[in-house]
Amino acid sequence: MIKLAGVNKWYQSGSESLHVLKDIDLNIAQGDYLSVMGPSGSGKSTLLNMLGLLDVIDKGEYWLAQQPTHQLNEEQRASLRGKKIGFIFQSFQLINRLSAAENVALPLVLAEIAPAKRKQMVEQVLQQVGLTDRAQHLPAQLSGGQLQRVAIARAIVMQPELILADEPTGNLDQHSGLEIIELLESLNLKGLTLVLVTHDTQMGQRARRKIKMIDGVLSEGVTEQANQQILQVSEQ
Amino acid sequence: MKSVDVLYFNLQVFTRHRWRTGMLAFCVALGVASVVLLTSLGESARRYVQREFALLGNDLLIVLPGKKQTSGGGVPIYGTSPRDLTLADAEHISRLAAVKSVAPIIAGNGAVSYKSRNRDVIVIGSTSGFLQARNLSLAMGSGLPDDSAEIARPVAIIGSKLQNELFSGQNPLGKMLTVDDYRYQVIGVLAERGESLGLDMRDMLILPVRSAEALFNSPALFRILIELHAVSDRQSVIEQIYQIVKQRHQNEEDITIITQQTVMQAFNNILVTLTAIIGLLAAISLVVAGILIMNLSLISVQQRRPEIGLLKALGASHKLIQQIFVWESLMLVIVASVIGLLCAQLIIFAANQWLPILQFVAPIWSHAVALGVAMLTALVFSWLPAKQAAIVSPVEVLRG
Amino acid sequence: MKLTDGLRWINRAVLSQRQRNLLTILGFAIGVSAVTILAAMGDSLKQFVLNEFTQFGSNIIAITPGKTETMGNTGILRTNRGLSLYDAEYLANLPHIKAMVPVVAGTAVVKFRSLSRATDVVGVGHHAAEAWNMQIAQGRFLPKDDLLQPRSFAVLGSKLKAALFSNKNALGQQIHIGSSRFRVVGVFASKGQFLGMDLDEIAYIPAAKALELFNRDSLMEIDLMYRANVDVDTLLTSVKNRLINRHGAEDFTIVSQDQMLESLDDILNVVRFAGIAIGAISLLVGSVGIYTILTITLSQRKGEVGLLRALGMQQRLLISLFLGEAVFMAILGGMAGLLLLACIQLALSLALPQLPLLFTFASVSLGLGVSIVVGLLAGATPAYQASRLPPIEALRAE
Repeated sequence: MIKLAGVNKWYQSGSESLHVLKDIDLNIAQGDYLSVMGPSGSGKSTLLNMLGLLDVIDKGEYWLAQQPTHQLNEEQRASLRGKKIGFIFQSFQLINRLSAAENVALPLVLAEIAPAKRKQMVEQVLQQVGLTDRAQHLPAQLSGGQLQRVAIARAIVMQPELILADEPTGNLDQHSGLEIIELLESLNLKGLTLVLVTHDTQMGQRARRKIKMIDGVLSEGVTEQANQQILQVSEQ
Repeated sequence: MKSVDVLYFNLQVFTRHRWRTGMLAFCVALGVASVVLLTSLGESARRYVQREFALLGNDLLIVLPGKKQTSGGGVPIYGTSPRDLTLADAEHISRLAAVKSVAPIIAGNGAVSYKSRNRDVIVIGSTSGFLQARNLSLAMGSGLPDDSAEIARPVAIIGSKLQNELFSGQNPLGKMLTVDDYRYQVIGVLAERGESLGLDMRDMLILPVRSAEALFNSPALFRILIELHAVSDRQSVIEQIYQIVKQRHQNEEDITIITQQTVMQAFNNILVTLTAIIGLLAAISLVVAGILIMNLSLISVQQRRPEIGLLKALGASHKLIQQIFVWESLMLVIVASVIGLLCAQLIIFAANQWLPILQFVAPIWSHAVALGVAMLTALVFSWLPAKQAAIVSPVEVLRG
Repeated sequence: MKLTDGLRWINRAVLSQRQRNLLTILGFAIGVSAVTILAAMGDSLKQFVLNEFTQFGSNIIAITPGKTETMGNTGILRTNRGLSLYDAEYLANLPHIKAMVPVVAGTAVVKFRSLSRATDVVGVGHHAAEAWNMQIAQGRFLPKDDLLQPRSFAVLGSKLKAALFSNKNALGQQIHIGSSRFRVVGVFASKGQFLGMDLDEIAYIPAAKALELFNRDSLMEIDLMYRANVDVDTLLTSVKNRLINRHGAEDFTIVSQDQMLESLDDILNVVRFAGIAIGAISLLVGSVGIYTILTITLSQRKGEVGLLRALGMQQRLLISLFLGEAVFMAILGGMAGLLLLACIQLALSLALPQLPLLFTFASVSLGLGVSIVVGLLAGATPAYQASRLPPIEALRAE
């Protein structure tokens, strides 16, 4: 259902051209649980942006739900993004003037879904993340863990093909962070495809598939020893 | 996003930033209200003048003695010429089929006295047609006699102010006045009408034209007012009148005929131009408000960059983001304009209560123009901020 | 903080937020321009009208027949108690009177051979050219003659001469005005217009001849030029009394040019005020704009305020700095507005050279003065509020 083939991306930095993604090949099946790890600058955030259709690939193909996304224009990508992809950010990214329920409803509003149906869908996901009694609260009145749960509810409300989580526990304390990961995993068990980008190796190890990004190159599921070797090579 | 949802979305933004929204709304409302009020001033003045002219009757020709052929054109305002315009001329003109009535006018200046009181007034000598042509009505007594152009009857009609000054408001009918050593009997008093295009009707004495001729010892007419039957070709009647006078004046065309229409037209044009100018000047305030709109919008976009990035991540397109921000300004301006229009109406209403003679009116078009300009301002000045919002890169703003 | 450091701080602060401050300044600039331009236009209009009226020289008293209780040019109307040439002669010989011009006017046909032109004809006296500041281009003006029995001379306006004589010599030629003959003794240089009347199209003849021509007994006006250093009011009263004696009653109106200009002034002041009021609306909106932006900006700079206070800055200094920013922006706005005006002025003077200046010293000072005041007012509240914030809160508010 998700296929990256020969994906390349370059960034301009002044007069230099950085090759950020190098010939990425990746297949993701429905219900997969991936973690993407690597040192900063390795390109994992870029990979996530590509997967999330937030940025365009320069070379290669990206198939999402049978669509050749590399051929789509900005409008089409936005539309696809809204329907098929759910985002979870490190900094939550909720709109402070809207209540929890209203924040969750945003993707539905963008998709022009009728108010009655919206209400129903919002209630359902809030229940799934356990925040039904906080529906009318403003972000200022919620704790970090609760904020991220609102964000998760928002991410799943449209029943997307893919959830992309970028350091979801980065702004949370140990306890809340764990809660969040467990929530995500429980959702994954129900069939949600999850791609998790993280610094935290402990967290990353929990995933069923582990992707490593080093210097724009993707490698999957190698042993610790090989991992070390690759690290040594790239440091030279 | 559905339109209703866009409106609600923006409404929430306004609620969040009440003070900012309020200040901006105030500026727009002020601008719109002042445009409406100022244009209504001009329009009310124009209608006042039109009404005054309408009261004078429509198909009026005015014959002035003298003619100017100068490069600048112009009307012979002095009313003096070598050859007099006489009652006989007026009589010949009145014979034309198209002419309904003719009111020859002698205008002079005289000292009126009654017993020990006296006053310097303007003295008009004319015929019964004069009151009709100028749409004057009597408060008491009768108008000029029908033979005013033939016999110099020693009778007079006085204005209301003259009545007050000379008779302390008492009934003057039948009493004898003295004007420059001539005596006249008061036969009528004009109804209170105030100024009529420059002539103060209240302070006037009206005599039969023959009497005035005798009083001033000169047959020279000041003007001739001609009322026409409804004709399709006014121009040919005018030509005929020129011919009649030319024949009688030794083949000299030494008169000028103007129509009431042209005079009214001239006034109208001046006032319309004036109204447009002051409307324009007031509209400058809307441009200033527009700049404030742009400024505040840009700040808003700046502050909401993460939010915009989020919306894009959630599937909002460039176009939608632009729409949201343009609608934000538009909504604000429309509501503020309506408030401004209502305030203007309130002020006009109050002014009319306080001074009913002024009869202010705010024409519909001024409301439409003010609203239109305000909305245009909103569109123009929110274009740039909306564009800036649309190009916010979600990648940049969502990190961290 | 030293003054120079303070000024430098203010300068950096204003220039750093370029886009936002530029717009704020622009909005304010337009508001200031609107007020200034309208005030200047009011001034110029006054000046223009005043010039129109004083082009005929000052130190003039005008006497017209009939007592004006109400408005109206009573000179034109018929009257039995008018001003005669005898009156004119009498008045001319009064003390302190330098010159006297009798006036009677009308329209007639001026003919030379086969060419004719219907135009205004004004009967005057030999002092007219001097009294009314009119220059002779050819020949001379009407000579000093018997007021009651003058010779039939005429002086033509430049356009009238051109129409009848084109380039040929007009002096000494015989023309007909009405049915009478006149000899041309002079031609005026171009004088221009007065209240829409073209002075170059007029034929000037002796007053007595004009009275004959138009079948009148009474003059329309008598102008008296009085010597300088004479008190106008006493002279007015004296002339009035003498004339009352002569006529037996006050059946005339006497007014000095100063009085006339005064009443004109009153009307024009109303116009000027109205103009300023309209401009003030734009200025108000511009000021509200500055106030709003300053408030928002300062609330966003709470962190900066907190830092400065934490570093030990006094409240008063803080207020002065922020107030200084406001005033600086306002002044920039004012100057930008004046610059805008200068450009408009330049464009206008190229297109329509006869329009008077928009830039007067008064209007410039008005513009800048208003700017400074608005800057102070608009900046005061936000500045004060910013300074009141306890440093801890300010630092935390980010």
